[in-house]
Amino acid sequence: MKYLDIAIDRAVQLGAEYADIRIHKTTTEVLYLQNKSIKSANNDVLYGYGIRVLKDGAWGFAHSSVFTEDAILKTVQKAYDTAKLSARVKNGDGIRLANERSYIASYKTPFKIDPFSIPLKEKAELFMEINQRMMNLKEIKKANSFFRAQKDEKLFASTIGTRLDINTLYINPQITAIAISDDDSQSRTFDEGGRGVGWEWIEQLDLLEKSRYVAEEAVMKLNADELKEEKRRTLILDPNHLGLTMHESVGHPTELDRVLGWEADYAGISFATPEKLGNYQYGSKIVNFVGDNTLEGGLATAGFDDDGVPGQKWHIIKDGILQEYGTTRETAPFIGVDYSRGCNRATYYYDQPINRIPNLYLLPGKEELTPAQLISDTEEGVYIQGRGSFSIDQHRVNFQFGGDFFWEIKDGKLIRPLKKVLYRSNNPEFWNSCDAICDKRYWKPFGVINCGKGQPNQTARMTHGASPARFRNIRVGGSK
Amino acid sequence: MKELVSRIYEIIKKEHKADDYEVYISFSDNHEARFAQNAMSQHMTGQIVKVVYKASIDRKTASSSVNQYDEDTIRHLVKTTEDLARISQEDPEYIDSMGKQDYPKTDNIKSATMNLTPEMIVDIIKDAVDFAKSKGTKLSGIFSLNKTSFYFYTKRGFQGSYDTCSYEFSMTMKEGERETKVSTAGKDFSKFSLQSQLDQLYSQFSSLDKPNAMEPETISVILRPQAVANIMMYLRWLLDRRMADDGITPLKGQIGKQFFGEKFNMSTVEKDDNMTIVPFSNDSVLKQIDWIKDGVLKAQPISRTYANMIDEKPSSMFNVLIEGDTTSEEDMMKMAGRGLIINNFWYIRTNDMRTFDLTGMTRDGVLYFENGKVKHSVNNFRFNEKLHEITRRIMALGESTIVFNSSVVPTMLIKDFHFIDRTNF
Repeated sequence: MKYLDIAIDRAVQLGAEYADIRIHKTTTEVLYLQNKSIKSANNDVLYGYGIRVLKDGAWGFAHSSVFTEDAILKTVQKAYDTAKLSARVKNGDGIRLANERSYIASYKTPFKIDPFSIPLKEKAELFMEINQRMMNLKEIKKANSFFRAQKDEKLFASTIGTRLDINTLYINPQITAIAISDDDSQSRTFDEGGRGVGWEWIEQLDLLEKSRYVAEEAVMKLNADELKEEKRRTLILDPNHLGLTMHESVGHPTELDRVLGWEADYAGISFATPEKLGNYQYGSKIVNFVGDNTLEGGLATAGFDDDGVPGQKWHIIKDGILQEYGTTRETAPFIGVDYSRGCNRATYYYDQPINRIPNLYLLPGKEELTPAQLISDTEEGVYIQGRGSFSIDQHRVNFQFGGDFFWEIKDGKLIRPLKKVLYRSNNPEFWNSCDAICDKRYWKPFGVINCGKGQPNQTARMTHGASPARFRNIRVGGSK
Repeated sequence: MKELVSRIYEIIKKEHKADDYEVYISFSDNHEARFAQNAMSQHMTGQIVKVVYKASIDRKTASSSVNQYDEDTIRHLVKTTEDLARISQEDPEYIDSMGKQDYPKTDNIKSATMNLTPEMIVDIIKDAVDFAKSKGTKLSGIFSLNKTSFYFYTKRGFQGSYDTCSYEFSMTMKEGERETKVSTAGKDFSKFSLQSQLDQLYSQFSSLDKPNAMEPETISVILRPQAVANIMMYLRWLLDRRMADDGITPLKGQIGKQFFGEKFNMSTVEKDDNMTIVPFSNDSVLKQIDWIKDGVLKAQPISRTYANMIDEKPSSMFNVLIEGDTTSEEDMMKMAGRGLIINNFWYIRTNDMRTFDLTGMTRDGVLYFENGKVKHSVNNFRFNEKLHEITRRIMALGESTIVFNSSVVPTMLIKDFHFIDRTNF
């Protein structure tokens, strides 16, 4: 597109040390039903461009949705002027970008059926039927269904000669049943957090069948007991639950911008400081975390990031030891590294990209181990499925998590459902207490589409994954 | 701007075939300057446009939005939305759009804020960073300036517009384990004083020595306004009438009853010198409402849809004013004898909506006081607390102050606050 060249040429003329332009169109379809009422049937388009200029070691970022040559030139100028202003407040020589070569490439999320091609009527009928089935149980007073499809079409050019054409797509179905009695209300949700695939995933999921267990388990939860006391117990966590746990306690602490203190005013910083690289026992020896922006179906899989750095796969934690961070061209040099791991992403065209969590997952156990064997090998504990309340401090050390469904384990058997279970732990206690991980047959990916970070807030997406895993000696109880 | 909006609206009026519609148009000019570790880290500027068209045909509704406003795009927006509405399903809770209504006039535009320039913003940040450097500390934060014009039209005759212009500024000062934050916001920049912000920041920072270890306990707390705002803002969501009637929250049948503490008063106001006033939404028009008076639940936010179902009038919590008093922090410390001063809370989440049970942690510095005097700083804590029960244990209130652009809250002295865990780093 000619606008890419106009912007880059102008930035070079002005004397930018580096500049890029991202023309970005985001199309979103949202369908949300409460009981039998369609609360949202939305189609939203955001289309514009953001221009980043690095001048005198400082950034300026300007955005616009006006597509004329004049508007592009003015936006470049604005970004340049803003960078010059920024340079009045810098440390030393300011920002230096890690080395990267240029690319001319394209990427497209592989999918079979475009979710935007499925008529709204068909989608609405499916989710209406799901809500109706959930409400067939008399205790289910509220049934909610949510479907989101999003495509992002990006053209990227930079002053180092990179030209990219990126088209990504994801969908996220969620269904929730809420059982309500005179003295309590409990919900159960099916939500795999979204995936970079097409409508074919909806066909595979059999949401109508899933609505049955979602409703039944909401009622079971309503009638379930609570744990009477908090004490040290064994936890078995399912992959969906682990997705959120690893997001908060491994993903965020290993974002290099947080490590460097760049989010100190809001999202927070990280305990996982650079002197710990290569020697800090983050987890037990069976704990291996991989950053992988090449993961098929991964929500952060886009070919390249918004620095023009290709997707990569690397160990963040290997054999329990902290190895590396998720980095960008801007953050990596601050720890003496001259390459980026490709984690710089912006949400919409008007957002300046920031260091984000990549697709991040826990590798499965090497020994054959089924979830049934894991449970039968556990004398006493709690098995947690799905995601619930989550709260973690601004250094990413201490946390408290709930869940969506809970089973009490006794003598190797699931003996009764529980509700309102919370567990509290910290880094490094938690991941070091992991003593068993099921094998690769039970590994599942789970997405996060609403990772909030930055000021003004940006919402990023990424995929996590795990096999069921066991954690010993964790404080588990209720709210008090 | 008004001419452009009229042109967009005229296209929609001409093109539409829907039984009913709503149109929202907003133009927002933003300037955001972030700084971290004594240097500018991000610096963003630009205008964001949004045109939203919501159409209803045969009681079937759909909505679409775009951020381009040429004639072809707006025509396409109308057609796409109406096509979606036609293939949607009839809504059993369908309600017509708002009809013609008066709404309060706002006073959101102040010349001092309108005249803020990027150069002035960077000057403020530079002065703040220079101050931090002179104290051997690292400063991080953001200065954001937002100017928005908002227009709303319905087929049934509502026509309204308002402008806002506001700023927000926050700074976190850090050195070693010592870390604290101040933030301010408002619509009138003439009231902004960098020096008073820095004085407050450094006063908080200086009071934090190496934190003494302290075990969690049930103890009196003085919650400073940022902490109050962060925890009480959950009421904006949890007070909802429909969630109460459905049994999701504990407020079913509590209207007129003493559910909260006697010292707790919460209202929405039509006028305020500091807050940005939003005079209407697509759901209702701003009215002065006492939500909680002397601890009695007087009213709850009700959407237009639900108001229609239960034959009530809709109401929204456009802003929050929690009434304060005149008790100083010194007097609060004397009243409590022993306790903690909490600068801020962090990562508050619901454990259980049905009981208003929340969890969260302290942040930005915790001070231990005894015999009416600050002794030393202590480690951070996690709490699990029921929101309404906190208000029942209010012992005293300080003066209310603006925290976010739509909330004014006081310092609170709370008895027997339940901390359950240390959060050591």
